[in-house]
Amino acid sequence: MTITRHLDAATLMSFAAGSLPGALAAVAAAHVAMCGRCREEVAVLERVGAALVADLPEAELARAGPAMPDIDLSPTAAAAFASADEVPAPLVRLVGPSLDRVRWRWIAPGLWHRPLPIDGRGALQLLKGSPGVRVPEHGHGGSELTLVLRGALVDRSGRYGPGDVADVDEEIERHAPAADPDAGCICVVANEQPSRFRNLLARLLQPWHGL
Amino acid sequence: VVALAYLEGLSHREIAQRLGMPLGTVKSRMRIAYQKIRSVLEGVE
Repeated sequence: MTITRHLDAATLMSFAAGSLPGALAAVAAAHVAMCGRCREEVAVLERVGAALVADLPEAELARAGPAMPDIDLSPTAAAAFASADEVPAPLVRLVGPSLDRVRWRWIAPGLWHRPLPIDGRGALQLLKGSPGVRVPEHGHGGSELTLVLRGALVDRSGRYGPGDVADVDEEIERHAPAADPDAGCICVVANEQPSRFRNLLARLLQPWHGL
Repeated sequence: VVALAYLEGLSHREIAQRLGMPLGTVKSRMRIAYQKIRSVLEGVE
């Protein structure tokens, strides 16, 4: 697996600071568990946090420093990815050990999802697309992180394979990602705010599909 | 921007609201800070 699409530097920094909203932190943790390069970056950025905290007077220290998200980023957890099928260790508790055992819910022709319970702000879900199926065109009300777990995702910015993450926000143009025409796609998607669909039907069905 | 993320645990959106600036500005300032940190660390190592 060669990962070529990484987390944005601002996302990495907030993840290391423990200030990323819950759903986004879960996807960031999953990508970091799969990606040695981003793991190294997080380690550096955690040192920055330690240096900032070290400069604080004790009284300030008592109310500073958000806790890191409750996600295991230890080397053991990262290494476990190799043997945990396609589910990165930080997601095993939410998804289960195998993508083949997920109980999918149909949301549209060729599209299924599985909402995942997460503490904190945002919505988290698995999304499965049959080969060539496209998610209706949409913009974003906040940050959105999409991590490919199986197959590939294709949109105007290129192709995303397993381990790659698409890190977009409300300032990114609308997009309509499609599942790979041969392999289809299973990904985990975190939305800080609901997406903004152009299609009326997709908007009306938002309480159902949760995107 | 960086201190608000680390010390107060504010998200990008919350920092933007606190400082009254667009979300994109918050993120681009964090990217600049990140680049500065990387270049300082590379100078040390």
